[in-house]
Parts: sequence; C-alpha cells; structure tokens
Amino acid sequence: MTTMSFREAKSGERACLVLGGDITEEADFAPLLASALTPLVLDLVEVGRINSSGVREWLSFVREIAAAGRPLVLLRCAPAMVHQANMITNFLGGAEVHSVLAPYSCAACDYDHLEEVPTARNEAAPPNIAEQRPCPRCGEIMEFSDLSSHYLAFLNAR
Amino acid sequence: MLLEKTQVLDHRSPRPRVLVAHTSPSIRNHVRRALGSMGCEVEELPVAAPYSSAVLDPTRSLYVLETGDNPERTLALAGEISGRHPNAPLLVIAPDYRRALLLELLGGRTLNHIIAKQGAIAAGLPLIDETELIVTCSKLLTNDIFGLAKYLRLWGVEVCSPSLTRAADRELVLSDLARFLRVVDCRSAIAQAVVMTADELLMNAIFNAPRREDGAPKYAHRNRQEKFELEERERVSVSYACDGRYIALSVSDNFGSLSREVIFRYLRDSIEGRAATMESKHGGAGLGIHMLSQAVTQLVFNVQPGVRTEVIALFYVRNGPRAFHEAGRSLNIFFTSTEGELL
Repeated sequence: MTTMSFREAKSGERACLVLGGDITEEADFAPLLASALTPLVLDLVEVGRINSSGVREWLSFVREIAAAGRPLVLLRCAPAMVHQANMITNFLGGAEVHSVLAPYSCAACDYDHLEEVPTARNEAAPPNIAEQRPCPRCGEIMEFSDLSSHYLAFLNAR
Repeated sequence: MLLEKTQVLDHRSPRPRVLVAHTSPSIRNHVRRALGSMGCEVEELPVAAPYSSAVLDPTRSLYVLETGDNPERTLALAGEISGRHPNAPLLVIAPDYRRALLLELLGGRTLNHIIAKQGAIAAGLPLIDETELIVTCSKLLTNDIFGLAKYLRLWGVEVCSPSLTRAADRELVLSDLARFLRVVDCRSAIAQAVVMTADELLMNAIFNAPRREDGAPKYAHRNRQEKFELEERERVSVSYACDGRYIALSVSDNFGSLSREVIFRYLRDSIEGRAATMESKHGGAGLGIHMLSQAVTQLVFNVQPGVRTEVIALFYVRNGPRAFHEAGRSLNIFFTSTEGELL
C-alpha cells in the first residue's frame, strides 16, 4: 500500500501535478491546495486505489477548490477514480475531465494495459471505448476489462 | 475437509421438502439436480401454471423461486408465500440482485437471498452456480451460517487467516492480500476490487463493530488514521483463498452489531442505481457497503446479533476481468437469533 504523493510534471506545454499512490485517510491534499498552478491540472495516471475515507478527503479537496473559484482539470483519470465518479454524487465536483484511462486485458500474454480516452467536451466526437484493441505487447486482440455501457456514464450525469 | 463442510444435512432425518417454482426447464433441471444431491425432496411448480393454496403448505423447509421474463409473477408468488408463512426460508434466482423489483421484497424483510441466474459460473449464460445454490440452501436448512470454507469447492485450497490485534494491522493485512493476489495471478482490475473490499470490511470491523457495554459504538467516531490496540474481543479475523473460480474473502468481528436496516439502507442506493452521497459524520464516510456492493460477485452477510458478524465476498476470477464485470451479482443476508436459529 502506498500513501498518496504527487510530483510536478508537464503535459504537453502545460504544467501539471501527477498524483500517485492510494487515496486513503492518510492522503494529504493541503500541498495541492497550496499549489500556484491555475488552472490546477492533475494527472491521475498513477492513482492506485481509493477507499471510503479517501473519498471523504478527495471530496473535501474538490469542494475547497471550487469554493476558491479555481478551475480544476483532470487528465488520465485512473480506473479507480472513474469507478468512484460513477458511484459517488459530485465526486469530481466542477472539474473538467480531459481524459480517462480505459483498462484492457490481453488473454494471450496476460498484459493489463491502460489506454487513454479523450473525454473533453470540445472533442469532435463523443468519447467512445473500443471493445477490443491490439495488444501493445504481443499484437493479439485484447479486450476492454470493464463494461463500456457503464464506464463513461459519469460524463453524461454531469 | 472442505467437502465435509458442505455435506451438512443429516440423511437419517426426514428429507427436507423444497418447492421449486421455475420458468424454464433448464433452470429447473439445474436446481433439481443440485437440491437432489443434498438429499432434498423437490416439488416443482411452473411459475406460469395455476396453483392451489395446497401447493403453498407450510410444511416445506424451503422455497426456491426463479424469475424469468415475467418477474412480477414470481415476486407475487414470493409475497403470497411469505404472507402465509412469514418465517419460510425463501430464495430467489434472478439475473442480478440489483433490480428495483426485488427492492420491495428486500426492504420488507420477505427476501434475504438472491442467487444470480446469469451467474459467475458462466457469465452471460442463463445458468446458476450449483455450488452457490447448494451452500446457500444448506445454510438455510441447517442454521450453520458461518465460515468461508463452505464456499470453496476444492480440497487442498489453502486459506490464509490472519488476525488483527491492532488497528494498524489493517495495512499489513492489505499488503499481504495484495501479494497473495499477485501469486494467484489475479488481474489488476479484479485485484483492486478485492483490496478495496477488504479495506472497507476491515474498517467496519475495527471501527464500527465494537460496542460499549451500553451498546453504543466505541470507535465509530475515531479518525481512521488512529492506531490503537484492540482488546481481545475486538480482534478481527480475516480469511481469504482462491479456488480457481473465485477469490473468497471474509472478515469477522465478535460483536454482531451490523443490523439489517443498515445493510439494506446502503444496498438500496446500489439497487436503485443511485450514486451514493457521503454522510456528514465523523469517522467513516458511510460509503463502505455501497462501494463493495458494486464490486463483489457474491456478497454474504452472516450475523448473530451480539455475537458475531461475518461478511463474505466472492469475486469471480476464472474468465478474466470482463467476465467478472458481466457476471450477475448475488446477495445473501443471514441473521440468526442469539441461540443460533435462523431469523
């Protein structure tokens, strides 16, 4: 189990903070709130799991960001974050979700792969999750690991 | 040893009479075979057929009702049976327990047991897992409700059984569980659901279960970061194993303080497909049961009030993460009296 941490990085030309580890009762969002980045861009690619106490901490964080009037942009939302967004009311607050990670699994080589799916509202086409893709490791067909009908449901609820 | 655990019916006793109301011959055959293997005397009733009140006589030990394309009829029959015999053990076979139609029966205490028809044994096919059916029926017929081993089919499966003596042990147990999941080659999408479920169950057992002498919660208000020693009665037992079909996990406390109302309240949001809202209370976030109800293939609550709560979670792993997500979800809520009689 790894406690939540973050590091500064670049997403294209844009500065962002990459969040990693598990979001639990030990997650400390104070440094993120203190960050000078505006908008606050969080890359959630390295988030592992989130428990109910972590949900509480995360919700407090997005509420404080909203109360301060700071725009929040989320990149590469890990599956654990997507599951919570589908389950918990206002989990993402007013955040703008630019992309999520879709989990794929290859039965041929046992590889678990996360594919970035753009979800920004200004994208030309609505976000779509392919049921199958070629495995980047062995080239065989890998399958989407979740239910495509449900996975992006939170986008419609916003 | 594990086989002995499932062969719990005494065959010298009168054979339990079970009424099976079904909508399809394939399910009927499946159920009849499973119940026959337990030594039950099975009587059949096509759901669509007219029936006399004699069919619903109170001498039956168990009623197994399957919902087909017309679940209202099956559920009306369930209501009629429970109206005549309020304590009759009733088990419904349905595509998934998270159906609004079942909510009324769950809320009204008529129904405590729903086995997924498009279950994990063959996700996407209208089959049931006969192990699950036999174990559930055996528990209903014998009042012997506790224990993870009942759900594991293979002799030789090793069950890991750590015990927590400090609140901080939760982290160690979760790390060991994550290591075990890698050993049994559990795919990351499922492993994450297993660890999350274990974490929520452990938090419930450590912080929410313990009671003071007056019955008030002892640690529920505490921050989940607090690391304190657990008194002997507050120690939490964990078991987990994998039999190739399922990752099986159980968490037990020695208080039996989980109420049916609390279980139902949190499951209702899940059944109605509502997003959960966080409770504004100190301590826990009030999301645990809602979160794990979304993640578990078969969820079993075993409660002997004042004595013990055991929550068992089964995760279907045989055919990978996609089948895990597609499999129907089953729910069992077993409550016994302090003397051990099923309620």
